[in-house]
Amino acid sequence: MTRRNAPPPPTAWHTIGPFFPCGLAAPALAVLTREGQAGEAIILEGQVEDGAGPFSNAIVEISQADAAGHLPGDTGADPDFAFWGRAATDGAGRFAFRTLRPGRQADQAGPRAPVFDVALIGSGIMRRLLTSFFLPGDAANATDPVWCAVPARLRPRLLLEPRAARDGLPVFHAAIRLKGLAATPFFRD
Amino acid sequence: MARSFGPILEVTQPREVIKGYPNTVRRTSDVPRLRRPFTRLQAAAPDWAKLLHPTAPDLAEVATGRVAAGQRILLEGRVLDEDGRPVSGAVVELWQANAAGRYDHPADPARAPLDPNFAGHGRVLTDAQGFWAVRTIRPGAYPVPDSGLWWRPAHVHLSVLGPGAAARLVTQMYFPGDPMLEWDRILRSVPDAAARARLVARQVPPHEAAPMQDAERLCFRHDLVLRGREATPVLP
Repeated sequence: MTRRNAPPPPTAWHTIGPFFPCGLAAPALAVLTREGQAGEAIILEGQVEDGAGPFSNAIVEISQADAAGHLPGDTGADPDFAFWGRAATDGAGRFAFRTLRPGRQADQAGPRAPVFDVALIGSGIMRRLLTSFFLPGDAANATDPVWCAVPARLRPRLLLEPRAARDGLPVFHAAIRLKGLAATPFFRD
Repeated sequence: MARSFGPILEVTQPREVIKGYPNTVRRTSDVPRLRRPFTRLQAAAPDWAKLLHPTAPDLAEVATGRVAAGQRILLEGRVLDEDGRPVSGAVVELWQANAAGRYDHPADPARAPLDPNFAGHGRVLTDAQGFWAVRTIRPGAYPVPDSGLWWRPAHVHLSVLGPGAAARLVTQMYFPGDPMLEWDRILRSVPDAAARARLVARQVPPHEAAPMQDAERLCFRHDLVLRGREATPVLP
């Protein structure tokens, strides 16, 4: 399989098991931004459904750029922004993050549109599910290298849907469907 | 230095649909996964120590004198990359059932008793050499509900956040010499025998357990390997 004495390949993935501990998914981890921070604060919310209905106690982890399009380690990256968040879904499969609208990013793969990378783990998911969500109507989507890698008929499923503002913040909704005719496209690891 | 992420050796990773585990059926997409170009967002990692605060490293004693029931153990190991290099500053999260095989979670239907002195989850950071260590108790095995007498062997759940989303790992660790490993459907979903064997911890003889030596606990050592390796530096 591998060369003798070669370092071993990555450890095998497993499901989180029946429960992800509440203590490791504290509500504070779903808040990526702080009051008064530069950039446009938004609520990124969503609902996860599996083949049987709402998916509760799923863990949603997001990665994104800061408001100016910087990633951690970049010169000028916002030291007060978290860049990563975790939320558990409730009994109706819903989750919500308070974050910033991400900026466009330079990337060796091509110019990135504002984007949220989403990873989903949960009971019965042996290997995490990876997808991305884009903001509707953003002109940069058309040239984003990941957007362009998705077949055109599936792209609408990766668009966030604007919803009524809450707490004075714009709300964007992500529908994550694991099964069915409208299933969310997921990426290979 | 930049980190590179090569393709995954599929036989070392689990099959996603497991017979007798209905959640794997209702939660595995029927649509083949899409390829996407590798982007910086997959290799970017925040300062984990700032975001994810470590818990007390002794899960077996929630407060002075409040000691969990069960065999007291020390779990320790290293987080490495695919070149075998230690990964420092990684977050290792773990959770497990108590000694009777019950999770401290409101949704666990098990009839096994809760232990008021055991919450069963924690979070630690790796040091400069990639080492992590947690004091806990050996978890109990438990029957999988509605499964037709399928039991899970004793195991500890592990979640690692390292250098970038591509290096993420969620896995389970098993105990050596357990006959239940032979028929566990989750462990057996990994096709490659060597990859399965790497999910089983090694029991360390007490006289070898230094410098983490602890006369009151059995010591188990378990290394975790994340995706990714240091890429060849680009010449100026």
